[in-house]
Amino acid sequence: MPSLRDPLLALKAEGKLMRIAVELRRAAEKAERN
Amino acid sequence: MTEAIVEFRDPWPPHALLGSTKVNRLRYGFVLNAPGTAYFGLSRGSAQAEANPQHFDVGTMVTIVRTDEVLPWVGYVSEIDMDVADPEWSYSCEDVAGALFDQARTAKDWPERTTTAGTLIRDVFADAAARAEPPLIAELAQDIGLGPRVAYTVKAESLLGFLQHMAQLTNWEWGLRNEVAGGAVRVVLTWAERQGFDRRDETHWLQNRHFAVARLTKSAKGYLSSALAVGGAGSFAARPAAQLNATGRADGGIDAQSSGLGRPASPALAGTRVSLHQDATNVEALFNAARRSLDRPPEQIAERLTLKLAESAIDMTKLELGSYYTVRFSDLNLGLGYSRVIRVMGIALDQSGAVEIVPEVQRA
Repeated sequence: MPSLRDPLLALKAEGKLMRIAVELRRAAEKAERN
Repeated sequence: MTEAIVEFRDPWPPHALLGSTKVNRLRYGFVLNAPGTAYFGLSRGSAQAEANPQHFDVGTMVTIVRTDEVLPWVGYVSEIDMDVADPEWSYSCEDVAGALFDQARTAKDWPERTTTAGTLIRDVFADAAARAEPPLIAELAQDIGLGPRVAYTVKAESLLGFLQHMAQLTNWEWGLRNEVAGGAVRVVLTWAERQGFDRRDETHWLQNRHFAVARLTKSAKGYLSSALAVGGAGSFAARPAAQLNATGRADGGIDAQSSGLGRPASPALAGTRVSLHQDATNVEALFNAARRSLDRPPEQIAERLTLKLAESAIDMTKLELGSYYTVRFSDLNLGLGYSRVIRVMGIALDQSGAVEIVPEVQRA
């Protein structure tokens, strides 16, 4: 069971949150260009 | 069995020992190019904590040292969670980067400077240390002035954000070297092209001997064929830009270099990643930023493993953040073939006798 109190949480969550991050990044880049 | 000793210390140098007490559920770790954290539970009935509760409050320095003295951890208590129904207080701690660098800021009124990244880091830290909001505690390594050249505008960002940005623009890495010896605590900020050592030939970890738990995640999004870094501000078309791609062919207004990668195996394993770096304007730094996002896309890497190593089976003195090791699998169901070279990106230690690492699998 993954715990929120995990020193490696950020690294592990990176993969799972990848899709969200990609979407957010693209939206942010688009906003910044405009 | 190795034990880890948690000590509470004076947050101000010379960090005199305030108390040491038994903790439960201890778990602490180190992450490459990112702050480390520690978590544990402290029994409410602890005699020491009852006698001097102020010594166990938020903001206290915490050091964690194993009896074998490898991988000492230094940080500050950042959060205490107390529940009337829970006989234990839950402590969260952050290391010097998370607790102090993240709270400090860089200068507001500096003009753009073109110098080595290390010199910039030294000057920015000297400026922040002089303002002492907060005092930085950490020392800088002797050889901090090195690194690729960057043309960078410092603009009132957090020191941690600045360090991470420097790492991105140079493809170099920062790290904290913790030293807890006798009564003294030292934290040294290091800056190097690569943290850690190359132990590919000397250290091999074998399935069922050094580790039993391993989990692999493969992602097509971790593969790119080209990376474009755009710097500066103002009119987008006029901003400096650098691109790495298979052919080195340049598009309008973009400097290009060959990425050294051949044709991708599948169109789904190709693609361009664009990154924007308002603070940097020199093409060299932009090429480094493009190289970094090509080597390690910010969102995902191609193959990622989670490994649990048995502490008693490996040489703990040869486990460092950023080092390279060879891992051999007897179970081919993992689809890894016989062996892979990995790089340790994160280490988590606890009292279970197993050390968990998050490695980055290197391109075959």
